[in-house]
Amino acid sequence: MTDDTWPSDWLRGVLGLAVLRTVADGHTYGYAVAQALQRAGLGTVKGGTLYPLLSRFEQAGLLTTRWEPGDGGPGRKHYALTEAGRAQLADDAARWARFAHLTTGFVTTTEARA
Amino acid sequence: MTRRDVDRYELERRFAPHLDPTWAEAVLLELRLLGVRGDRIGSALSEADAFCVDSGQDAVEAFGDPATYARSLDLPAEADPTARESLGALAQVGLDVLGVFLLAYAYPAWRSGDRLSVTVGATLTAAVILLGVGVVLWQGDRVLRTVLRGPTPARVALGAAVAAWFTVAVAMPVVLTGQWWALPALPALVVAVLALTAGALLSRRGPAPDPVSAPLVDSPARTPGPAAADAVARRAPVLVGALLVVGLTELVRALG
Repeated sequence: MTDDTWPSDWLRGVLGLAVLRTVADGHTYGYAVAQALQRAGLGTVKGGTLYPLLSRFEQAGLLTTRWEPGDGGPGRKHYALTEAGRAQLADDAARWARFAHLTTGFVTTTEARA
Repeated sequence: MTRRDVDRYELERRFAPHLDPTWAEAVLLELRLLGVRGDRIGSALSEADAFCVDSGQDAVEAFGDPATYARSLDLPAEADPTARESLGALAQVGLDVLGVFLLAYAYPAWRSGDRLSVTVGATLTAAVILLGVGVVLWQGDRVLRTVLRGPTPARVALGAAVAAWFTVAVAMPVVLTGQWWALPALPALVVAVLALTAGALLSRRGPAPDPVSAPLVDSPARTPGPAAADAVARRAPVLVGALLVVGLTELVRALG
């Protein structure tokens, strides 16, 4: 299955967590986050989807921001995880792993367990 | 691009020079209507600008409808006036309107040695004006949205309401000339002057400026003019009104 064919409601469920993960990995401004998500196989995330998420996380105290001058272009707003953001990421990632394992097991069995 | 376009989109071009200025303007407007602070507005525009430069997409492709995008950011509303500030604004405008209105009746009466005849029409007009001002201050947000973006029937209805309000305000003193009170003119004149002075005192603290701004974007240096000039500018409508009243009265007396 190619990148851009994941059902959008699946992506909606995981996108926030994926964004936190991406920022933790050091991809700290909007377009870099979008590119990293695409490289990871999660498809194309539009600016109209990404920035409201970043804004929400910033207001929730999960991300801090700083502006950096662009090299010849416009300045960029860079994001970084706060302590709370790191804790949220660790917690959500663990829960997602359990959730994914559970659902994978459930939907891939050939007959329902009694 | 005409010179008018350049002037009109000056802010948009400063904070989002690579974006379609009409898209940026719609975002800016929606955020202002939502009561978002100027620095957050500038930041949002600059970020959108940078994303479009990096991705090579245009604003609509990347972000969709501007008003929807602006709302989706869910930025905190901090520029809304507090109830106290709204009441202060209403009180100030009310005092100004009453002051000029009363002056218009009391000054000529005082100059000609008559008592001030308070008609039913004049009183109702004062009430109607205050009501109109009150509605705009209370629902200004919604009124502005309808004017700027409302469906045509709503705009027509709003226009008709304003026209009706204006007609009533102007027609009533002419139609309802029944006098219900006669005041000595001088005390009424003093009250008018006091009302205008009170209005002036209330207007001294205008709303705090909240310009659109963003880190790394140069804004033209604000050279604040002398405070006196600022205060005079804010009071200009009232001063002009008062001067007109006095001037016209004297002119009529000189000619009559």
